[in-house]
Amino acid sequence: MRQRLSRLLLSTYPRQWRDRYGEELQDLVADLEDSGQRATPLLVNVLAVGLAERMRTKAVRAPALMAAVVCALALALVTLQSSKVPSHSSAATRLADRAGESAHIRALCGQVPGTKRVVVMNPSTGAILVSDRCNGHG
Amino acid sequence: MLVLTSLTGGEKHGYALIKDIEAFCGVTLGPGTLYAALARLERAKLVEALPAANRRRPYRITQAGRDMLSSQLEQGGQIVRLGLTRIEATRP
Repeated sequence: MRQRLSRLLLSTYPRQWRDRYGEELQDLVADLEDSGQRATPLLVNVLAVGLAERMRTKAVRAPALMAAVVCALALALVTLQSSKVPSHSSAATRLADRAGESAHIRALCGQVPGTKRVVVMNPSTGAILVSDRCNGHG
Repeated sequence: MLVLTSLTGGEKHGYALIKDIEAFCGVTLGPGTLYAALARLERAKLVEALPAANRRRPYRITQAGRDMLSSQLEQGGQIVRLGLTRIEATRP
């Protein structure tokens, strides 16, 4: 699942960059995860650098940028709050419930650019889920 | 400079670079940060990619990279020497 998310985050990089380094970067993220590093900071780094590369090449499309910024902020929020899960029922919980997922999935990380799919994270396990079962909602 | 310094010790792939840099200066580069640096260095022909082995592609420093690193380290060394001299001179 994280590999899927890391592939998704790679879409923030310019195509030429992605074609050349994308696979290597994905393998490196997987290697670092296997060595015990937490996934969230790795993925936030991948996203942040992707945005910077986009800015550098001036190939930023507004919707993609917005989606990526929302995703980055949400991931940062998840990182900060991962130790204390709030008790309120968030939009993400409702989305996750509708999707038939555990009610513990509370953190909405963002929307997949160009689709109605959402990225949610279970803060207690760190599992990241890209759900396409919420079409038409949220 | 960290990547070039690491590569002077021999060719390395991404994971090995991160671990080596972590070991010699305590800085942990993020995967995106590392590949952005490698992309810039490769564009500037300061490093070159070697054929991938087991899905891992090693990188090697070029002669231009060595020259550039040597010049940067020399400049850095001058600043270090000057700083240390002034600290010594003003020691109470």
